Amino acid sequence: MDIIVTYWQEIISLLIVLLTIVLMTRSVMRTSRYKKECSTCALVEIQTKKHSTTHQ
Amino acid sequence: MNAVSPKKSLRTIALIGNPNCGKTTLFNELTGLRQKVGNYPGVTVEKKEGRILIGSEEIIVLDLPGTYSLSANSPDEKVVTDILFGRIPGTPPPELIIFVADATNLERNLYLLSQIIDLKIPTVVSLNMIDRINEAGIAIDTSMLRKEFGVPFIPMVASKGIGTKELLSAFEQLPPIADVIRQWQLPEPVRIEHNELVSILIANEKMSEPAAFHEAQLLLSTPKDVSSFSNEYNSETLNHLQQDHSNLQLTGVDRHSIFVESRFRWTNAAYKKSVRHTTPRHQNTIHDSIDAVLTHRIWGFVIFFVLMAVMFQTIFTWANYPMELIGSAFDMLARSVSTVIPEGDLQSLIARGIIGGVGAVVTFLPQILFLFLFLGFLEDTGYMARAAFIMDRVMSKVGLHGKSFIPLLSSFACAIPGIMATRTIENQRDRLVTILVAPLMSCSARLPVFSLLIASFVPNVLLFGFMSLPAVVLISMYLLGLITALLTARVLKSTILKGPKPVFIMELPPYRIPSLKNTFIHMWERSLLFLKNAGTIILGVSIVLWFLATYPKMAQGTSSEKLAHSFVGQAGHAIEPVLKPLGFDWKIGIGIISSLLQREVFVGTLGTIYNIEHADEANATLKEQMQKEKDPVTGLPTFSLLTALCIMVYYVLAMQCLSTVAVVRRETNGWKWPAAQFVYMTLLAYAGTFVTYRIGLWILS
Repeated sequence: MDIIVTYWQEIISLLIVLLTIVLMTRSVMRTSRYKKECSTCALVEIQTKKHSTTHQ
Repeated sequence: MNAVSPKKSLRTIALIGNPNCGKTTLFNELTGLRQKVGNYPGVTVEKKEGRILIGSEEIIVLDLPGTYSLSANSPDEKVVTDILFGRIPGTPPPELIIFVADATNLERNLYLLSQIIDLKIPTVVSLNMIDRINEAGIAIDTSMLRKEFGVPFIPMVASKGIGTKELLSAFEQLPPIADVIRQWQLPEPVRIEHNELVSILIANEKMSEPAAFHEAQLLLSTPKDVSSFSNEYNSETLNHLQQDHSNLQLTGVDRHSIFVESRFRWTNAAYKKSVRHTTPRHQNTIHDSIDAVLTHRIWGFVIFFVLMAVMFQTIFTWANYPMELIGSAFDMLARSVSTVIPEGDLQSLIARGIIGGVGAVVTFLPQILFLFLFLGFLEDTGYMARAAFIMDRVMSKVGLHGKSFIPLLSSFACAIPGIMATRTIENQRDRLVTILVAPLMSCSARLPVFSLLIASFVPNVLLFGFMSLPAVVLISMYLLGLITALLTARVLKSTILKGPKPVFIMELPPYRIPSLKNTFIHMWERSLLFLKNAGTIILGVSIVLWFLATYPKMAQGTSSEKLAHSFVGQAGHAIEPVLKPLGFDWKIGIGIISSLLQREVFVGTLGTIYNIEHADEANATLKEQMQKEKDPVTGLPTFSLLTALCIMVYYVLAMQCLSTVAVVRRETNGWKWPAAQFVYMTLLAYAGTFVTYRIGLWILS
């Protein structure tokens, strides 16, 4: 408990860093998955939500 | 032939027409979407899809690239024929066509219309830009056109939404297939050979009748040798085709042009019956007079460079005030965070890592907005096509034609649409050369890097009494990119991508008053994209970079020593020997590596690193921190005018954009060319920066 009280800033910061790494990795993985599925649109469009609705 | 009403319910509508006739404007009007439009041919290079509700039925609308005929030459034109004949998996052929015709240029548009109605697909003609026919000196009889072509002609002004209701009601009535199709007359021997080949294609190749009718014309008029089709058709068809070619040669008919001539003869006769010229044709208009100046062999260039100079000068001066406002807002935010959160890692992460990194980039939003305002204005007025025309002389010297200049000009905004715009280039080698040099044009992502360095290290003095030195340096960077692109193209065209000198044929669009709505929509979308990048990629990189610049921690020492001890510091020192010959220290090196993803990350990276290093100096802006930065060994300033120029030269020449690499991979169908492009641009950047640094040192000494 004392550790949390003393190092709360470090713990929250590291959690934010960890979460960022997870989200960035997930985003990269998702983009490459769309890229494989789609042969008609540019990468800029792939990263938008519109992409999922324009190719059916 | 009698009218045939289709029984199937409408599912897909395709917008087809000549380039620059307003298809995308109509598409946006019908679907409520905001696809990019522009007053020059070749803005749409792939199909775009949207949906509309007609009654209770949802219908797919396809916006297709502009084409002058169905004899596809370039990749973007091929999209049209592939979709019409159902050759794209997952995209059924359209059940209705809206043929968009430019009312001021109807004679030429009717040729493609005659090919479309031959396909027996229900068609409605949107007679667009009808408000400009008085100015063009013509009067159009739409009922006569209806009689001649057998399809409804709806007068419209798509940009103002005029005529949309009538067009929608024409869909609801399920327009018939044209009842006067194939009225054009072929000489008897050609007609007989054509009809026979159509029957053979239907029987042997299992083609539909309209597809066979179209394909037979292409095969009979092809300049290619019959054997070149051996992979596409069976031997019986090819034998018959060979016989047809020989028979036609004996009759003395020029089979290469007979189909085009016959069709033109018919459409021209129909045009003459339906359109009356109220002013004599070929009379010089105001547009011609403007063109005489803007495309003049000397004045054209002068005006082009003056326009560019005015653009960059105003980007610098106008954007200053809003940039300062945004900068102050981020400073205030960082101070508020420091007040609310006690000193520690979380405060450092938010105030210095996130706000420092993201804020440094977002500050440049006004400059991006002004850049797109100017580019939008140049595109909408029709000037872009004139710029391509005057640059054709320069382009032909490097072995490319003016058509390649449009993708290069688009790359000023972003290389990705620029590279996609190369689909309008028919010759594969020319297209590849244009793709390989397009990222050398300075895109909007370079602007924050240039602006930060110019504002920090280039003295704000006037040259010749009217041009500020910062604007001159900025223009020089854009010119450096352009000249390097042209020289690289010259080298490629005379070595690995040798080819004949192409002939440039391009339609000059009419001058138009720019649409404020379109320009603002485009500016708004680019801003959103820029802010989205700042809120995702740059935010993510800033957070990870903060961690790498903070850990492993040192119990004692100054903030500079702590930074040098961190992961970033260690990695930076490891790569420093490679960068030393360019005059860069390890922090600039970290900026370059982190911005491989995207160029503007460089600014965010420096924002984060300097904020962590100068944590004790409250309120210092990134510009001030960079100006104060000293080399720990020599005690001399890390940044000087020369260093700033070297960094800018590096960013002009280096690839530094993963999205562009991915798009080049897709457009060239493999990794070979994007890999070669990345390597040549990185080597070019290194060599260019090295030479700049050495020349600079020599001048200073």
